[in-house]
Amino acid sequence: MRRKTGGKFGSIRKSASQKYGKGKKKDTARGFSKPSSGSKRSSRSDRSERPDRSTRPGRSTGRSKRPDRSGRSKRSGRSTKSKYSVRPRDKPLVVSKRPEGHVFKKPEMRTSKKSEKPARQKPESHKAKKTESYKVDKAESYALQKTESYEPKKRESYEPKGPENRVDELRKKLIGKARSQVRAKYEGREAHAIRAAALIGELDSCFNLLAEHCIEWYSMHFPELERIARDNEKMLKLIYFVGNREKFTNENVTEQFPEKAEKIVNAAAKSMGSDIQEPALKEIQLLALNSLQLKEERAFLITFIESEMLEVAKNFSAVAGPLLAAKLLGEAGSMKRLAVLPSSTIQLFGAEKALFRHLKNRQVKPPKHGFIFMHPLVQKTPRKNKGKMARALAGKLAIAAREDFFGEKDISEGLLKGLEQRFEELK
Amino acid sequence: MKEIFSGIFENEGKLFTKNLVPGKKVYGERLVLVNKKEFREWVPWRSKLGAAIKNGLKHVPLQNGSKVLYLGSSEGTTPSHVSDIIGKNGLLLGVDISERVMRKFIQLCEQRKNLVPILADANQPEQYAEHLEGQAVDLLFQDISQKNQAEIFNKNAKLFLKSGKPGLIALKAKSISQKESPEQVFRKEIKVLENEFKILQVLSLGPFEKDHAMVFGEKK
Ligand SMILES: C[S@@+](CC[C@H](N)C(=O)[O-])C[C@H]1O[C@@H](n2cnc3c(N)ncnc32)[C@H](O)[C@@H]1O
Repeated sequence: MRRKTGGKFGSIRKSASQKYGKGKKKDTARGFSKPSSGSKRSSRSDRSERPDRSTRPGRSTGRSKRPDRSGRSKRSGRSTKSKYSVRPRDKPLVVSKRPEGHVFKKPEMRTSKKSEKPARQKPESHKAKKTESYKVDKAESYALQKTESYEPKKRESYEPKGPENRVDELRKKLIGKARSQVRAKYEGREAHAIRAAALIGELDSCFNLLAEHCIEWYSMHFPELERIARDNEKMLKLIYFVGNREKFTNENVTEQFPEKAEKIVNAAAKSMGSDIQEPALKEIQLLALNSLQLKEERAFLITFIESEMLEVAKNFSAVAGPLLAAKLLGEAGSMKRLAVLPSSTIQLFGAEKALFRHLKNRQVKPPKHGFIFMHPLVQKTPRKNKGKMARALAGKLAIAAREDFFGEKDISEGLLKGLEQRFEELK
Repeated sequence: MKEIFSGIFENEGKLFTKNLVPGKKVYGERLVLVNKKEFREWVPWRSKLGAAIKNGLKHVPLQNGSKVLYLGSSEGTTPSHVSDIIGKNGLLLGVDISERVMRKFIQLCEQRKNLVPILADANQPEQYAEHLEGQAVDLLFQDISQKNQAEIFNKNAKLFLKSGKPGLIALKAKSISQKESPEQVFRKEIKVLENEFKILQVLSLGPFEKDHAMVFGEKK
């Protein structure tokens, strides 16, 4: 599951940042246009066409002009390599909530490890060459005659006095101390991942709400599109990047929605929707962009959760997948509590309602799984065995959480292998 | 397999140490078996001390039973080889400031009984001085990328090294100054080190590490 979501949102994040002009400095400078395709448009006109929300009162002049026409005419002949190169306008429609020039980056937490390590082993051929790159190399300038005659002094009695186990005692003490220091540093840190995970669900419902409104509004103009597209996000992209039904050419649509391009183009040609005026369309497009940015936000949050969970609970997160892991962790409240919970509790997190229904009335069957139902292995298990799979998963999760809190080892591989095995038995 | 320094072996141009914990790798290095003894390859591209030895460090002040204060132990790549060399009776106190790497190092400490982790800032040696219970060490080793590397080294030497005892420090030019050339930086740093040390050898770590130098000195 982890890989799947990571890949999916990873790609969105990339494209999203290109789209909304936040990805690269170049993009931001020129608003939406891609460096290659938009270079011909003058940035001045771009700006006047796309006033910030804050300058709305004075926007009418700018808005009365179709912002995208100039760009449109140049479109033909442009390669369709980039999905997002065609945009109705050049400046973000929305006052960006992030500061100007803000560049989204994946949190750097994971990379630091690499940078600490010296470079990988390179071919031997490198070796001989650069050794003498500067003079200081040569010992001569500093090494005194002493160098040759350096004799290590006889070891004095620095050894710990007293019985052998003095050192051992010190060692145990210091290991314990370092360990609790490390733990203290991480304690409470999981709260951020928990918050973020809780936000994901809210973002999804916000997105759906806005998207629905936007689509419904747009449907006055092109009612057939919704039935054909059946995908909120793709539909919003069509609304935002293409807009007017008249512009639903093969090329334009293919860029956003290649799978159903043909159908959509045909439908656009004989649509029974009413014509739409530019101001209204702009408002709809604005709404579409806002909703799409929520999707973008979601992708950032997912990356954040991934990297945080890797820090605070790498085994647990590896077994559950970061999002599910963060959800379960939120349910437990903290790493500390999660680490002492019995696996049966973890199994039923998120199924409290069903559990209480069962406790009240024993005729109602007890629930078999809560949140962990969304784990891909449980999902793939045939219905009659889902409970068994959930139990196995919960068991491994409990072990993982314990190791994350009380130990330092990476045991995720073994745990995952065990789960795969169980899955093979149950499927 | 030729022993070139106490506990350090060479074979066909590669460095090895005798594995204190047979069967276990530390950082993905190769394990080889010679005369029923297991050796771990010491990869100079991964370890600055390894690089220094390859580049002709004249003396490696380590032997069975040595007690080492290692500043910047990180995940324990180099410390693991030092641990091999100093053997069961030796002791390496590994100081590092980062919890992230300390987590890994603690694991290594569990495996190797002569390693001890200390999570602390090497810039404030007073903080861990008490843990050492006033004992001096046989070697002070430092590999941290801080602007005041030399100063930190001196501070620690004052506290933990007796006169005549050796110190080894890896200098990283880029973390001291980006503008000046590495030679200039090294000269300056060596000046600072000379306050506490008699410098015995300076050598570059190229090509294994760019703009790094290893300085070997003896406490004044
Ligand atoms: C280049 S790594 C050392 C690698 C190690 N010598 C090896 O070869 O395996 C430098 C380490 O110094 C640590 N460090 C940086 N500043 C420090 C400080 N002020 N006190 C202690 N450790 C520090 C970093 O956390 C990092 O792990």
